[in-house]
Amino acid sequence: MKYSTLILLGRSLKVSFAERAAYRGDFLLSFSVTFLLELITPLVTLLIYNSGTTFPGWTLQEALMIQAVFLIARSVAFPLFFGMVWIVFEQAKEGTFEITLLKPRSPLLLTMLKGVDIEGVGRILGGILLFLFALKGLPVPGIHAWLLFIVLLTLSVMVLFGFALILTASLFIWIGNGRVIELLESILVFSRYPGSIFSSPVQWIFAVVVPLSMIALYPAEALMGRTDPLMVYSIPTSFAFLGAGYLFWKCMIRRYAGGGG
Amino acid sequence: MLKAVALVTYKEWAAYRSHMLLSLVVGPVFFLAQVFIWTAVYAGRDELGGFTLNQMLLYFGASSVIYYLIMDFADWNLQMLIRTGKFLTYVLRPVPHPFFAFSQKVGHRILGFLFEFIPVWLIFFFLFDVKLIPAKPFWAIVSVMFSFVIMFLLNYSMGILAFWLTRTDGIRALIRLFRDLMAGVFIPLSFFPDVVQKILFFLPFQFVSYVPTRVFLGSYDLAGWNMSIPVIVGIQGLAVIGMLIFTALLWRLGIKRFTGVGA
Repeated sequence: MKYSTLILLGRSLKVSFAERAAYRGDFLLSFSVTFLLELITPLVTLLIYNSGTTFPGWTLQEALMIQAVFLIARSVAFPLFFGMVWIVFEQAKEGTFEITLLKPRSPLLLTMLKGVDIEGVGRILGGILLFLFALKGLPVPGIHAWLLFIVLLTLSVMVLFGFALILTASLFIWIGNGRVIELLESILVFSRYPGSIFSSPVQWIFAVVVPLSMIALYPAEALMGRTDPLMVYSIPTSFAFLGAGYLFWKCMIRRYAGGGG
Repeated sequence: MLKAVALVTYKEWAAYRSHMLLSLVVGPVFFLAQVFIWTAVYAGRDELGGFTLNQMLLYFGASSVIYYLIMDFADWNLQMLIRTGKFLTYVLRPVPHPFFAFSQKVGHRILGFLFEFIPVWLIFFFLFDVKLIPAKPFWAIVSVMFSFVIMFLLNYSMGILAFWLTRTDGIRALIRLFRDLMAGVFIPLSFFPDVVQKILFFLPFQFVSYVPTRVFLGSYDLAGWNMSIPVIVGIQGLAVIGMLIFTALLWRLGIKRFTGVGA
């Protein structure tokens, strides 16, 4: 990343904070709610385990670890990348995206920076707390497990960036459809649970076709010292998925025709 | 009046029917996730939280399609009008805004019935083999109608908070979170600890989703209290009256605080 890009990112975070600080009470509440919202899935998992059953082959701590990793990956990816979905949603609808296109920097970088959302960072608090809680009940991971975890977590953020690119790019054609985020949320549900709940073909699809398992399952498995043969196939798939997202963005931005104004 | 506003809203939103058709993917994908999750946790078990696996899938199926009949965004709409000052134009109209907003919801949900409820119901029926046929159709319809009104009143009350707070994103998200959690959207309320179930019984949230879904399935129990369908629907009716009084009081207090500039 270039130094000037880092400066732009810093300024975007500052502007995002200043903008939200105008309504401080609402900002603090939104920040806390974002954190609480993300704890719903772990709560459901807890209630399931409390009712006396389990996800086959997974203890409560192991299942919660997957959800903690999901939260951490999401808390990095969403504030940085998913704000651009709403920027393009608004600008394509109003026909003002042309202004971004006229600026002397990459439209993708500008859209991403404009969409930086400090509010979403609240999720990381939930992720870290859950991570520490789950980690307490698991064997201490070795240095190799930590290293592999960090590598796979980076890939997880990349996959989420790929999704952000696909969703954002689709709004150049599907003008004003704010429900694309709902579509993503419905797909991401599959990445919050242990792989053993899915049939083998579905596990294969989530590793090799759409790398949903890379978002949380594989990084969590790496940390827990579990081995999954599909994990290896999922690594190139994650790169390919991000590449496909970027190509889709390039293709769709060319088709943008200023729907409003 | 209701018919005219509902018709205009219907026509307005019909222009965006492709957006609504996204529910044909979102609803079944969410449901597919539930199928995987619950099939796995029921392995070797007949019953959990008072539900068999089949009943659990029916619960989530019914809950999904009922949502298409009752959802609205009256809270977002009202807070936006207040925050931007556009609400001023509604104060000048000879129709109370709550009634206007309710009429809009009627039109919007008629469209939802055609483009979301029916297609998703058919997908569940043919693709997932989940037969969403109400056990007692009359009571199911009455219960859904009540939850339609309660959902509106809850959301509208959230919107009214903008008279005090101006920007309400945080508080609305918080209330929505508790509403859905305590309405049994994420997991049936019978999975909660007994003491929590007892508290939930006395809150209005169960009437949004849990009660209509249970009425749809033909039996109701919460916190160990079993009730016949007519009795719980009757209680739901009382909750509608309670919510009407609450919203009317909140509205009276809130409208006094409105100051609009421009618009």
